[in-house]
This record gives sequence, structure tokens and C-alpha cells, in this order.
Amino acid sequence: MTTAGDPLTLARPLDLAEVLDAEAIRDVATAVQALHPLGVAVFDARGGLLCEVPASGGGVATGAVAVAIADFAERAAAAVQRGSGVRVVASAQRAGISHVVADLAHDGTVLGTLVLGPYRTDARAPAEVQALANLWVRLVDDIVHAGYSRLLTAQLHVAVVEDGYQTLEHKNKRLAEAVERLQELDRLKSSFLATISHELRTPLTSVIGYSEMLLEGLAGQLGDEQKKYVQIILEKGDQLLQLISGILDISRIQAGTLELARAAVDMREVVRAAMGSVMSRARKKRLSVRMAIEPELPRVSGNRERLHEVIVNLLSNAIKFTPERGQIEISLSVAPEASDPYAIGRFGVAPPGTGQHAMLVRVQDSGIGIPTEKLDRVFDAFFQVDSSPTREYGGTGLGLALVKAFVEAHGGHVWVDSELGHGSTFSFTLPIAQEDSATLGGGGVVAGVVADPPNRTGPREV
Amino acid sequence: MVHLDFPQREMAIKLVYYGPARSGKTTNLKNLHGRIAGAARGRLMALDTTDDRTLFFDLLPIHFRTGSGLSIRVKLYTVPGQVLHNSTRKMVLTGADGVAFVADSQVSETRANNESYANLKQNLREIGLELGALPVVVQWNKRDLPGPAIRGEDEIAEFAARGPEPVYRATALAGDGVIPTFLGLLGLTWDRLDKKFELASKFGVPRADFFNALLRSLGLEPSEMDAAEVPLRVLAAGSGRAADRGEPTGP
Repeated sequence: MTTAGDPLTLARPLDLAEVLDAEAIRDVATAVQALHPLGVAVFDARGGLLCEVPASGGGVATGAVAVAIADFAERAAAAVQRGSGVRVVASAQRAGISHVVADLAHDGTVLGTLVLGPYRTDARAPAEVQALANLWVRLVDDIVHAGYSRLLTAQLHVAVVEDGYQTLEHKNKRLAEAVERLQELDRLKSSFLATISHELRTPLTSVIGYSEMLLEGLAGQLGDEQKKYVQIILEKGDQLLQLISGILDISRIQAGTLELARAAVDMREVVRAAMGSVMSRARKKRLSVRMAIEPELPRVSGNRERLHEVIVNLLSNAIKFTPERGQIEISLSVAPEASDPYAIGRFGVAPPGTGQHAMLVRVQDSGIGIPTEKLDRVFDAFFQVDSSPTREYGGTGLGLALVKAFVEAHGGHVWVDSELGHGSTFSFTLPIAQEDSATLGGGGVVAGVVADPPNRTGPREV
Repeated sequence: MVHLDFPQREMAIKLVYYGPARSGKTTNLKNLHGRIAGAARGRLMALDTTDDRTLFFDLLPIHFRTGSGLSIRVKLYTVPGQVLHNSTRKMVLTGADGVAFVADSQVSETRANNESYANLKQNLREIGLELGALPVVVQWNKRDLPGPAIRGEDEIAEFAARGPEPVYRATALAGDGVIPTFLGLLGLTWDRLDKKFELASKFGVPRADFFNALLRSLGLEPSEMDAAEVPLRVLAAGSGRAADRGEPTGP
């Protein structure tokens, strides 16, 4: 059995109607009739007409519709006359009128017949008509062959495309299943982390609480040495608590259970507060820390505590990775939203009011920088640019992951530009508070804010 | 699958030339087409080629009748050798009654031969056939290439002795070995089909009549059959047995 998807099996005989290009027959007939003005018709094996080109002139008679119909009837009658080879079939209606009939065979099977005529038996030598019929048989054979090969090509093409489509479908299905499995695993992991960090935090709160009580002398006065030890317990306990809180936050964000209470927040205040909590560390390294804040700034829609954490994390990182006497600058400005692919492009920066705008926060340092190949990964949880056992800079690798998670939870974007040995710039955007977005008019856009640096990762890579 | 119509006395057989890219499958068909004559020879159809490389397949139909009026159609197909055309290969292979595996004799093509053979096995399995159940002959082509570049005669004899398939040597470009490969494959296929469907008794056509009619209608000498019926395997196996008789091996 042959189906469309399996064109190359053997059972199905060829159907002349499928492979005969009637247009080609007509073209050839017109050309041949210039030399031999005889009508031509091709019939399938059941006597059905596939193609007919009446004589253009010089046949028995031309012009009259009645004659054309009569000619056709005679050709059809001749077509069903069985016989072998090229044969002359005399007209039953008109004396002295004949047709030449030839079988059209392919691959050992007769597919149809070719009928030439009618012609006046006395006006044409039998040899001439026979030769013409032979020529016609060869021509039709060529046309059938071309049609057959076109048919096979088309059928096979369809079959191959179907096969390719099925293969792709199959692969897609397997990929989708794999993704689903991974997502499920990821959810399990996050939920496990959230549970475990919660369980760790509870006893730790007691450790910290009792250490504080010891220090305050609630259990009797401590000696200096004892105070020093308890102080260390308290400090390390705090560090541990921060780490666990970080893990808890990340896993909550990943599990989609972190809820941010949002309000209109003035970022200038957030930045000033964050500066306050990191300045002592900056002073120890004699770093110059500068704030570049535009005078008229809208408020952002965000969670003050989380944004404070984000800025502290970025500033702490900048301080950690900048050698003594280096420079750090934090700036606030309004810029086109980073996710708007056409806000910045070949023709410059789109002005305010022509697209989405956002608060752009940038923390720039003159530190050690990040190698290009690691840029993509700095925001991954637990990732360390230098993960060797002898690494110079401490940390858990959670800070930037939290930054990214919090910023994205706000609907913003974070990215980094860096050049090894020359420092890094971390930038992120925050949505402008609804209340203030209406006041955004002219100005506020820092020109050249995001000129193309040599080395960057983030949303503007498009 | 062979097409058999006992009342109409018709039979159609599909043979497929398989093998790695540029091993000479199309050359086999072209040369066969050139060597045979008469009304039996159909037109060689080459479907979609680029740079002389087969994209879809080539098809050489052969049609003949035995003296007792059995109508036989044999369709020879080639598959595209390039790795990426596997869907087409599988499609062409579907329903094959016999396979001629055209291996490239060049040592450098060993990997391609192996890969293509594994691919044949895999594709057969996917269309529900097993390699062992299908008549297969192997043709080592390009025997005319200079010595060091190709597998030696001893290596080919060893290959022939190791496997079950009849093995033929060929230089398809010059036409050497093309007809024995074809006749050998058709002979093997007839035997297999005869065993399964009792062709000889049901059609009343003995094997010799079938091949006589074929050779006659293709304008080939009856002696052409001799080379086809004595492939390398038979020779190798024969000499192997002689060696065994003289010198029993192993403890």
C-alpha cells in the first residue's frame, strides 16, 4: 500500500493524470502543428480525456464547433480501440478519415493512449503519420518522465518534512519534560533552603540574645577577657544571622514567596543612610566616596529596607574590591528604562516622555575589575570571581545575588560594566513611583549615562 | 516490500544501493544503465542533485517478462550518502527487498563505511526490519585506486570470510563488478522471496527461467550470471574449508 508519507513503495501504479503536464503538451502541440497540422489528444487508461489540442488548420476541417465536437468524439472512440504499437484506426463515421493511436506506457504498464488526427487517409502517407506518432510518443514519454520525477520529488519532500517535523516534535517534548523536571527540582531546593534557614535562625536568635544579656551583665559582671570572648560570639553570631537571612531571602525570591511592601521612596535618603553604615570601612581604606545626585529626583516605587540592603551590598563590594586610596562614586539619575531595547541605540538616547523611564542607580569603583568571562556569572548565588582556596577577598557570594533578586523583585534590571584592573560599575534601574512619574518632563536624563563600555553584561547587550 | 499479484502474474521488487557519501552508488546505477539495453531498461531518474551529489535518490526501473508471461518490475534505488539526509534514506529504504552496500575501498573512508553500515542497521530497525533478515550484498568499490590508498585484496578476502554477505569487488566508474553486484543481489533476493512466498511454484517460473529472461531482456550474456553467483565469500569460504581440513586449529 502506498500513502503520501511513503511514496517509494511499489504497489501503486502510476496515474497518468498525476504526472502529465497538460500545459507542456499544449506547448509542444502548438509547435508541432506548425509543421504537421494534426489534432492531438491524450487519454488515460480508462478512456478519460486528459488533454486535447485540435488541429490549428489544415486538418480535415477547422473552425466549426460542430466539427470540433465530431472530431473529439472520433478521437475518443479511437482511443479506446485496443491494439499494440502505433496503429491506424479508420473512422466509423466518415469514409477516408483515420486516426493514429499509440499506447503510452511507463514501466511496463499502459497508462493511456495518444490519438493523432483526424486526417484524410489519401492526403498523408502512412509512414509520415506513423513517424509523427512515434515522435509524439517519445515527447509524451519525456513529459511524463519529467512529471513523474517532479511528483516523486514533491512526495518525498513532503514525507521528509513530515519526518523532520515529527523528530522535532519528539525532541521538543523531551526538552519540555526536562525543563519541567528541573523547575520542580529548583522549587524543591528553594523550599528546602527556606525551611532549613528558618530552622537555623531560631536557635541562633537565642545564641545572640543570651550573648547580649551576658554582655549587659544580666548574669553577673564579666571580666575583660570574658567580655572580649562574648563580644566575638556576638559578632560571629550576627554574621551568621545575616548569612542565613540572605539565604532565606534568596530562596524565598526563587520560590516566589518574598513579598515586598512598596511605597514611594526617596532614593537620596536611602543612599545617605547606606553611606552612613559603610563609611567607617571606607575611611579605614582611605577611599574617597562621592555622591552624585541630581537635585530634582522623583521618588521610586520600592521597599525602603530592601533598597537599603541593595545599596549597602553594592557599596560594601566596591569598598572590598577597591585598593587603598581608590575612588568610589554612587550616582542617582533618571534614564530610559534599560529593558526598552530602542531607548539607546545607534542614533543616541531617547528623550524623556518618548519611552519608559526609570531611576538609574550606579555604583562605580576604581577597583580590581572583573574578567570578561566571569561577568555573566557575578550575579549567581554563591559565585565568587576568585574561588580559589587562597582567595584574597572574603564573602559568601550572596551579596550580588541578593542585589539582583531584590532589584528584579522591584521590576528593575541590574547589570555590570567592568574592565579588569580599572574598576567596575554596577548599575540598576527602579521604577519611578506612580505619584511622581507625571512630573517627569524635560531634563533629568543624564546624557551619555550608558555609553558603550568595552566590557559589560546586562540588559543592554541586545 | 515485494509486490506480488498472483492472478495478474505481476511482481515488483525493490532493491536499494546503500553506502557512505561518494562511495559510488549513483555511479553503479549509471553504469548499469549504460551496460544494459533493450526495452527492459527504464529511464534512469536522478532526483535533485547538487554538485553531482544525490539529495533525494536515483531510480532505475527495469521491466521484463518471462517466457510464461510473468511481468516483473525491478526498481533500483540509491540513497543519498550524506549524513544529514537520514530522513530521505529511511524513506527510500522502506519496503526494500534487498540492499547492496557500496563500500569505499579507500582506507581513509573506513570510518564513513562503518558509520553508514551502522546507520543502515539503525534505519532498518526503525522501519521494523533486521539486517540479518534482509538480503544484503557488499560491494567494495574503487578497486582501481593505487595500492596503499585502498584496502588490500587480503583484507577484503578476510572481510568476506568474516561476514555472511556475498562480497563483490568493483570499479563502478569503469563498469567492473557492477553487473555481478546487481545480479548477485537480485539472485539472493529471489532466493529469499522464493523461500517465503514459493514464487517458483506459484508463478510456475523456476529461478533459471527468471534469470534467463532477465539477462535476455537486458542484452546480457548468460555467462554474466557466473560472476554474480560466485562472490568473494564463496571463494573465501571454500579456501577456508580447505585450510581447515589440512590443519585443524587450536587446542
